[in-house]
Formats: sequence, C-alpha cells, structure tokens
Amino acid sequence: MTRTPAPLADRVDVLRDEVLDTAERGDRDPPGAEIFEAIVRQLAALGDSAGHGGLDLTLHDALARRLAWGDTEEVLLGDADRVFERLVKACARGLRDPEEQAAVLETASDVLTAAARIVALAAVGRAGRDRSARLREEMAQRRLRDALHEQAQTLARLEQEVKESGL
Amino acid sequence: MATPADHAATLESLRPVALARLVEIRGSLDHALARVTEAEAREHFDAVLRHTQAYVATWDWRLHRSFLQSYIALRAGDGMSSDDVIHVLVAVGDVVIDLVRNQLGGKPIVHELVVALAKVNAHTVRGVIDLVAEELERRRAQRDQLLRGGAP
Amino acid sequence: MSAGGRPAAQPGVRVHGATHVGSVREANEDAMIVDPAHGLYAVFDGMGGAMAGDVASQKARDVVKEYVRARRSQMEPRAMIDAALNAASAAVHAEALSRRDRRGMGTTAVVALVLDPRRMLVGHVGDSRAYLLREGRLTQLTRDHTVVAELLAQNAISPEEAEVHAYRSVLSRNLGARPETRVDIAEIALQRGDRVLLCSDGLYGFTSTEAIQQLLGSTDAPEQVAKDLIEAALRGGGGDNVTVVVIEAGVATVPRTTQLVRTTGSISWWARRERFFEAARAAGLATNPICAVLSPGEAVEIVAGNFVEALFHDLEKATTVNVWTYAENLAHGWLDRGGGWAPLRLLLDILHHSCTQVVADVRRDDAELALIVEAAVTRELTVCEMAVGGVLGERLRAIEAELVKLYGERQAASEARRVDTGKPFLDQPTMPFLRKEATSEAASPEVRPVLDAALRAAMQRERDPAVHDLLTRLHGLACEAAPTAAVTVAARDLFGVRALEERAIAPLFDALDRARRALIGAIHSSQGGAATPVQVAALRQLALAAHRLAASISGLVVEAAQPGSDKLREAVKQTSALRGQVGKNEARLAELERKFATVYDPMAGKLVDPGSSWGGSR
Repeated sequence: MTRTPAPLADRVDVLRDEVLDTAERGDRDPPGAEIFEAIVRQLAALGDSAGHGGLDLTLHDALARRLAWGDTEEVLLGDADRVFERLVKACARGLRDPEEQAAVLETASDVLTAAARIVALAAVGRAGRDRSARLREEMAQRRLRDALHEQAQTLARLEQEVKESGL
Repeated sequence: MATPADHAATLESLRPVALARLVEIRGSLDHALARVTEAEAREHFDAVLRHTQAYVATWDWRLHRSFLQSYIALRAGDGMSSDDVIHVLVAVGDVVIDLVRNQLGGKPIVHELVVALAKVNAHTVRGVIDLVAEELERRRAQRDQLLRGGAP
Repeated sequence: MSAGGRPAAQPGVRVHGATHVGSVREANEDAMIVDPAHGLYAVFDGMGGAMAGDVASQKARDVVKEYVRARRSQMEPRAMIDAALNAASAAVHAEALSRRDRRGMGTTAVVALVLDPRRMLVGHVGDSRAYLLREGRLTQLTRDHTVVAELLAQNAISPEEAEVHAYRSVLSRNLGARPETRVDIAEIALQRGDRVLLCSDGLYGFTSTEAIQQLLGSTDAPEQVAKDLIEAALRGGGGDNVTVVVIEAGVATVPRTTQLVRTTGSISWWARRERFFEAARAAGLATNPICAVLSPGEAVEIVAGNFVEALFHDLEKATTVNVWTYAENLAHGWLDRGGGWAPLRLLLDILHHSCTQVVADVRRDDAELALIVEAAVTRELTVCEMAVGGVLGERLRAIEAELVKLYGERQAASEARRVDTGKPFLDQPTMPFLRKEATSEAASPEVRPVLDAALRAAMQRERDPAVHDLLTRLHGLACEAAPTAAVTVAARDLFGVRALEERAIAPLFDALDRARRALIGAIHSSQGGAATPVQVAALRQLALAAHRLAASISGLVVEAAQPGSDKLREAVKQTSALRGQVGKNEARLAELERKFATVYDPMAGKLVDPGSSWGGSR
C-alpha cells in the first residue's frame, strides 16, 4: 500500500515550533507567527484550483493589529527576518524534494516582501497621521492659549471685584 | 419670588445628589466620560455643577463664556467635539432639572429654578456656538491662506 | 430572518433579537444571546473566513451564556462580564490553534446585563455596538475597538479621515486573537422609556445613524423595531450579516408637568401665535439677511410661522424632532448660501425675543402656567441652538480636515527634501533589525551561472528602467557576499528623494516585486523540468537578497517617518503643559467665582453684602 504524502502546507506547518522557536518564545503568539502562518496559508492555496494571488488581507490585518498593539515597525521587520532565516534552515533539513524546497522559498519570498511593503506603507500612513496629529495639536494649543488669555482676564477681573468687596 | 442667590443655594443643597446621579450615569452621557474613573468623573461634574451654581447666582455672561472656552479646550484633549460638549453640558443641566422636579416636589421655587436651569442650558449652547463660529472663521482664513501658498 | 425573544422575566423590560444573513454573504457569522431569565443579551460578529467566523461567534456565545448562567447569582456583575468575555476569548483562541483552517479566527462581542429595570452593564470587545435612545436622542454607548477608532480617540485623525482610512475595518481588539482580552465595561442608568440597541456592523455599516434613531424611536414594540432595523440594513445593501437586539426599559409614564405642557401649554402657545408674529415683526425679522429673498409678509409667514408650528407640535408631543429639523434646515440653507453665523444668531435672538413676549402674555393670565411654558419653550430654543451647533460643528470639522489635508500634502513634500540630507547614510544609526555584522554568503561557482542566466533572461523580458535597476541590484546582492552595509546602500540609492506618501513608495515595491518575480521565473525555466538542487540554491540566494533589500527599503521609510513622530511627541508635550496651565487656572477661577457669586447681585447689578452668602455648606 502506497502512503500519500501530506500536503506541503501541512509538512511545513509541522515545523512551526522550530521556526517560531516556541520553546524559547512561548506557544502563545510567538513573534513572527503572522508571517509563518501567511506562508503556510499561501502554500495551502498553491494546491487550490482557484489559486490565491492578490493581497493577503489576513497578513495585512495581523500586522496592522500588532502595530496597533504597540509593536514598532522595526520589531515586525526583525521578526520577519528571523522567521525567514529559521524557515530556510528548517526546510533545508525537513524537505527532501528540491521542487518542494523551491516552492517554500518562493512563497516565503512573496510573503516577506509583502510584509516589508505592508510595514513600509504602515509607516507612510503613520507619517501622514503624525503630520495630521501635529496640526491638530497645534490647533488644540491655539484653543488652549485663547482659553488661557480669557482666563487671565477673568482672573484679574474677579480678583479685583472680590478685593473691592472686602472678602 | 426667589432671588438668584436662593436658586444657587437650592442647587447647592442638591449638588451631592446630582453629583452621585451624574457619576452613576456617565456612561450614557459621553464616551470620554464613560472611560474615566469614578473619581475623575466626580471631579469633572463637580466643577460643572459649581460653575452652574455660580452662573445662576450671577448671570455673568463673561464668566460663563470663559468657563465654556476652557471647557471646550480641555475636553478637546479627551476627544470631545463641540457637539459632544454641547450634549454633555445640556445633559448635565437636564439631570439637575429632573432632580429639582423630583426632589423638591411641590415647593414654590421649583418652576422658577427649572426655568433658570433651562436658561443656563440655552446660554451654554449659545456660548459654545459662538466659540465654534469664531473658530470656523479663523480656520477658513487659514485655509484660504494655505491655498494662496502662505503658512497656515 | 431568524428571531429570538421571549417575554422578559425581568419586570419592566421588553426585549427582542433578530438576525439575518444579509444579501451578499452565504453564511451567517453573527450570533446572539437573548436570555431574559438572566437579563443577559449579546451580539457576536465572527470573522476568519472559510466558515471559521461562525465557529468563533458561536463558541463565544456558548461560553458567555454558560458562564453567566452558572455565576449570575454569585459573582459581582462587572467582574463576571469581564471574566465571561475573557473565558470566551481563551476558548476561541484555543479552537483557532487546534486547526489550521481556523487560525486567525475571532469574534466581536457586545454584552448587556440588565441588573434591574434601572441599571444595566454594557461590556464590549471589537466593533459591535450598543446604542442608547433616550428622549429621541441616540447615543453610542460603545467605542469601536478598531485601529481607526483608537486613532480617532487619540485625535490622531479626524472623523472624515477615519471614514476613508485603510484600516477602518481592522479590529484592534477581538475575542480569540489572544487568549485574554481587555473588555470595556460601562454602567448605564436606565430611565423609563429608554431603548438600548445591541447590533453588529451589518446594521450601522449599511444604515444611517438618523435611520437607526428614527426606527428605534418609533412607538412600535421591540419585535417590530428589530424587524424594521434589519430591513433598513437590507435596503442599504445588506452587505454583511446583520444582528440586532432591542431592549426596552419599561413603558414611559408621562410626568404631570409634561401633561400640562402637552395640553394647556401647547394650547396657550398656539392661541398666542399672532402675538409671536407681531413681536417677530417688530424685532425686524423681515430685515434679517436670511429673509432677504422674502417679502416682509412671507418672512413672518414662513420663517416665524414654521417655527411656531414646529414648536407647537413639539409641545404637544413633548418630543424634540420638529424644532430640531426646522433649525437644522434653516442653518444648512443659510450656510450653504455662504452665509455667516451673525445673521443666524440674530434670527435666533428674534425667535427667542418673540417667545419671551408670548410667555409674558401667558403670565398675565396664569403665572404658574407661564413658568411651565417658559421652561418648555426655553428647552425648545435650546434644541434649536443644539441643531445649529451641530451644523456649525460639522462644518468646522470639515474645514479642519481640509486644512489638515492641505497642510499634510505640503509637509510631505518638504519632508522628502529633508530626507535627502546628504549625510553619509552609513554613519546614521539605522535598521536595528538587520544585524550589522550579518553578511550573506556569496553564491557558489555552480549557482552563479544560473543567476547570471536568469538576469540576462529577465533583462530581455522587462522593459521598465526602474525594474532593470532592481534586477541588476538583486542579482548583485544574490551573487556576492553582501554585508548589511551594501544592502543599505542599495536601498538608499533606490529610495532616492521620495515623499513619504503611498503614491511615491508603492511603485518602488511594485518594481521590486516585478524584478524578483522575473528572476524567479527565469531561474525556473533555466534548466527545464523539475527543480534541481542548484536551482534551489539560486532561489535561496535570490529570496534572501530580495528580503534584505525590501526590509532595508522598509526600514528607510520607517526612519524617514521618525522625525515627524518626534515632532508630534514634542507637540503633545506642549499641549499637555498648556492643558495643565488651563486646568490650574480653572481651579483658581472656580474658587474666585464662588466668592464672586456670594457678593454679586445680578438683579441689582452690583456687589452685595457678603453676609447673604448662598454657599454656606460648601
């Protein structure tokens, strides 16, 4: 009886702990998990007749969420770098078929450059937001200065009135 | 007929109840207030209530305007727009009006005080709108200047 | 449409929930709880594709339901909601980890726990919402946990920018993304007649806030309201699953004062409308610029007449809709014609003055009724001003957004000039994620010809000079032992002088992608048939080179954005200092104001004897 090998995505998924270094970094959301999962997802989609292609919105959302939770762009890029390095090594050991190794490398390359693009555009977005926020801060400062000016006048008037009353 | 000082004194007697009620329902008034601690909310509402008392006693428009200007400027930092400010301050007034009606029952001062508080609300909205309109004019001028290539 | 909702076990509370798959989706990933026996109501909106979304929402629903049922009588309610939602998050997370096709799944949750007919707790995670309708006014009780909403709350973007933001649908919190989650919980004091709506984004994403307010504010029973809300979302496109739970806190009883206003008050107002017109005419209504296109008769008939009628209807029904609409239309009409605030203010003053005349007239007949009418009319005038305030506020936000956009564009261009400082790039501390000492290995002698051949083939296929440049650089980095410095120099050259805008940065990544794919394709076709170990080695060199180059470019963008962030931080610090000063002055002013109030008599217009102080207990 011939054993049918598990799909490539499943065999790469088996390498999760090794690639994400879960022994060191814990099993709960280890850094770079979103990159690794995007690679596995894309590998799984290679077999689909419908194909995959296009922007991986899940990766996009996962990276956006990490940024929203306070991770910096540098940290995200660093995690991606580490995942790539460990994945290349793990696949060289774990996959015998050069065709499969090629598929993993191409997919990883797609995901990594996509991640770099997402991070760069997130930084562009942040720069735009920072610019907007700065102007809004300046507007708020203007309002506060106006209020301070008004307060100073009112304070002087009230102090005078209260003084005159002899309180 | 009661004097403004009587109105203020009555409000002072209701302040602890009003404060407790406002702190309790702050989640229904505004997001920004829903997020703050009870102590912060208490401090916030207490300042508004004390100012309302002072305004009912003096009807000094300049004081009220100065208070509103500071209030808008400070609340903008909490993410509250001018609409939010209007709604919160009017809601505070409404809560006090309800309390006056419910707590003071048939006392003769009730109707007068309700009218006074309704006027405070009306003046508050007018004061905020005046400030918004002034801001709008300034921003228009800045926009036109930017479009002409000058600094904002 | 499926519906749920039994008679409420809690007295004074009526509830109904309904859900619909929508017009576009194939499956309903929403779930809800309608459990009057425990006062527990909730809406969940699952996500994750490939049927994982409904697994997440149903799992969360089951966990929350069981958790609350088991602990309703033992735990402090606030802590219980927090713990129930965290337990749901842990359960969804564990489920997601157990199967690959469920990874990344999650769900939103908005939970209402009615403690008694006067109190309710609302807890939520994600962008499902709770609204409160009180006296005709709709208030959103929850703040969406989306990346954009967080930015909006920090004032980092305007509501207008939020509408079109790329991350507007990205949740910053949900149940399932992590085992634990942060839950926002608020206590709501309910009043008779209040209605609370829990809903998924399938409702508010496809229905206007005004429509929600109108439907929720109808006098129909919760069953009909829930049905109407879902139909409104379907009419709006029904692009998503839609779920609503309508909770009503008892039937409103009308207080005595309101009854008086509705009957005697409204009648005496209507009976004195001629007095109002007369006062408005005398106050110069017809000469107001807003009435310039009308004859004096029309000005009174239309502007004053409509106001009197709107106010009469409001007094009769004791709601605020008519006067609001009147004022909003007036303000929009005038401001759209380029009008300013001053004439509008004057017109509102005329209306106010005319109201005062009517009240004075009522006072001559019945002093007590006059006070009741005065309070009601003042309230209506306040509503008028609130509507105008809303219109002006909206315009202010729009112009501020326009200013921010104009200013941002100008700044982006000037930042691009500043990025090109001429300072030796390698001297700048940069890209900590790319280890400085890291040097890639050079391609082996057998791999090198494959890469050379791939470059030649790709150069022939591609025509774009930008792609050619990238092909050469990628080839170089893949062939040579390239230290980090070499990669950063290449990235720097490619980056050049670019504005920090998507339209300037995205083409660089497009070109990199095209070059990378062209080289990969060329490597594949270089030897025909199945991949060989040499081809794999070439691909590894190329993939590494592309990754390092892309990451370096990305790092440059991040670095270029940094000065802007620093300036913002500085600005925030300055604002905070100013806020501190204003707050401090405010405290001082409050103290003085208190003293001033004790000595100033507005009726006499002079300082009075401090002995008549009203603030004895302060």
